[in-house]
Amino acid sequence: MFREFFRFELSYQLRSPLPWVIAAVFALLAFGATTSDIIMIGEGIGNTNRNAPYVILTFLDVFSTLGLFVAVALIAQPLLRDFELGTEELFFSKPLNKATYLWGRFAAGSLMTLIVMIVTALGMMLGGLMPWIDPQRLGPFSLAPFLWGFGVVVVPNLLFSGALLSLLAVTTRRLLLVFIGVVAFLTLWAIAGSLTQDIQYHTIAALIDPLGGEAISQAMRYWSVAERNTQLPELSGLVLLNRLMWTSVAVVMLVATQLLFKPQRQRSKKHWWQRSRKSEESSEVAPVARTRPAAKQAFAPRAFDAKTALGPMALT
Amino acid sequence: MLTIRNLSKSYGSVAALRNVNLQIPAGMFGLLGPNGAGKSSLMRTIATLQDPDAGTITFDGIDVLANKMAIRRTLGYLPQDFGVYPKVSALGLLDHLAVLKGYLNRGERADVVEALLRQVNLWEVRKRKLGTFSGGMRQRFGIAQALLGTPRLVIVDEPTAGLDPEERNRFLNLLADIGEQVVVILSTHIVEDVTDLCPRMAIICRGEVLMSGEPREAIAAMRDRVWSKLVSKATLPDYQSRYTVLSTRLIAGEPLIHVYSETRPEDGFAAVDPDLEDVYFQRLRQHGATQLNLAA
Repeated sequence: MFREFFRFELSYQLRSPLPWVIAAVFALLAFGATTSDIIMIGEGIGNTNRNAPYVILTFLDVFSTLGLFVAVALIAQPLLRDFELGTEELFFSKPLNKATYLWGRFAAGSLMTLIVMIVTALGMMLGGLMPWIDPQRLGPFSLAPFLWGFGVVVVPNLLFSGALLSLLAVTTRRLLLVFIGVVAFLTLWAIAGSLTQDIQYHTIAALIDPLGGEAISQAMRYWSVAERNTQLPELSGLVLLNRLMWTSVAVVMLVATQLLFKPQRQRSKKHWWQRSRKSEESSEVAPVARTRPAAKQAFAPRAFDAKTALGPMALT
Repeated sequence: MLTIRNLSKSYGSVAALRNVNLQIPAGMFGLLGPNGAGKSSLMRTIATLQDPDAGTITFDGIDVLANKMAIRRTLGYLPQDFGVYPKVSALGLLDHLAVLKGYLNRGERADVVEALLRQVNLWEVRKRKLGTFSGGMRQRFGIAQALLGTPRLVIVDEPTAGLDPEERNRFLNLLADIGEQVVVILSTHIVEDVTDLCPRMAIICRGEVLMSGEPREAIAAMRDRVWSKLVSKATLPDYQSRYTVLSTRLIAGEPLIHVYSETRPEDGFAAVDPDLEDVYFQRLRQHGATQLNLAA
């Protein structure tokens, strides 16, 4: 049944325009930043080659941070879709396994986000092949920085983002609150980043960044232009520690998501279109003002007068 | 047989269900009550979507609250308000739900889905997106998904509210076809639905079961006690204060009242054959009067 949830969700997302629009926008930005200086991502390319590993890694790091917002649409929203659309009762009255329901959709959403990132990377690659760029500013095309970038930056960040968003989704059950949670996270992240800017805190700074950008940027900070054009950081030291730490945190969050997910209907959660009915219902629970039921039915051929139906009881 | 014992549920300070006891055998069973009576709470509790505060529910020997998965395999539930995935076709969503119900074999599933869509008359539009469906079509889709897996317990919550007369008739005919061996609970505030379809019923109001049994017997018990008279709007309040007025119907603008009384109230009243509506209103009035007395 995992396969069915995965298949259904993936085909739903592939057919939805949103992820493709995001992918196209990201790819265009990446392409633009690679081929010209009009668009600057991060601190810009500076003197290095336009397709230097250093540049590719910086760009991938920025896009995977933006990926947090993408994941709200592609990972959190599917988990909440049934609550938002009002289909949860159709699903939860079926004998489904809550784990396969959650993780089938999570996996499909994560794969879709990964596809968006891949399309973005294609934008970068394509940018590096454009004929109008000064050949002296281009190094030989190599897949290595992309693979390293995906393996060390994009995929772990995707796992972390997905885990964080799933936890938020499952506990708050409102997409708006998930979005607010993301903004709060980024705010804390920025504050933590600026508090640890001082050189003496550099180890802490590298470790507390869940998205790994600080650790990697520190590893490459004192490289010369030549090194930036050719080298990839080593997967060791603070970089490795950071990745291991935050991947573990992601796993813990995923486990928490599984444990906290309750597929039962929430008490008094009304969808936006039900609000007017709810006020009618609560007035009917009041001691004496009971509306004649058929008054609500459009089809009733007999026009009952709600007030008179209950005689003296309707007075109070 | 579905047995509900001492079921209670409160939402904060509002008691939605108070010590509900019901025995529901196979066949159509009508659960009648005004809005806010607790019908939907009861339906959702039986459909394993929420837990009660106290009480037990047993279906054919299965403890519903302890074995939710077992019940879900044999349950069909049509919620009162439900959404659909607007961008998915009827066939696509029904197929997906069929897998969840347990139809893992593709061929068998295709047959089942086709049979259901034909039964609810949606086969011709199976490829259309659910977002384009009218209210009646959505309701039919709802009953199709509720009938997946040949359930032995079917719960339909306010299924005809909002449907036009033709759709309503079509829907009721569908329900009537469901089968003799199946427990079908029709929860509604429309008395006609129960009159038309259900040989057994219960009336629930503010979480309490006011009566349960056969409509025929309840109607027979009211014989010779229901009187009707055409009055005027001006004199209506006077009648309301003097007699137990069950209901008021407007005939060409003038009120026609039904009054409950052991003997003829006064001249001008004619005895009428009681119907289920009279039974319903009489019980509600009686319950309301008791509540007022308790509060006084």
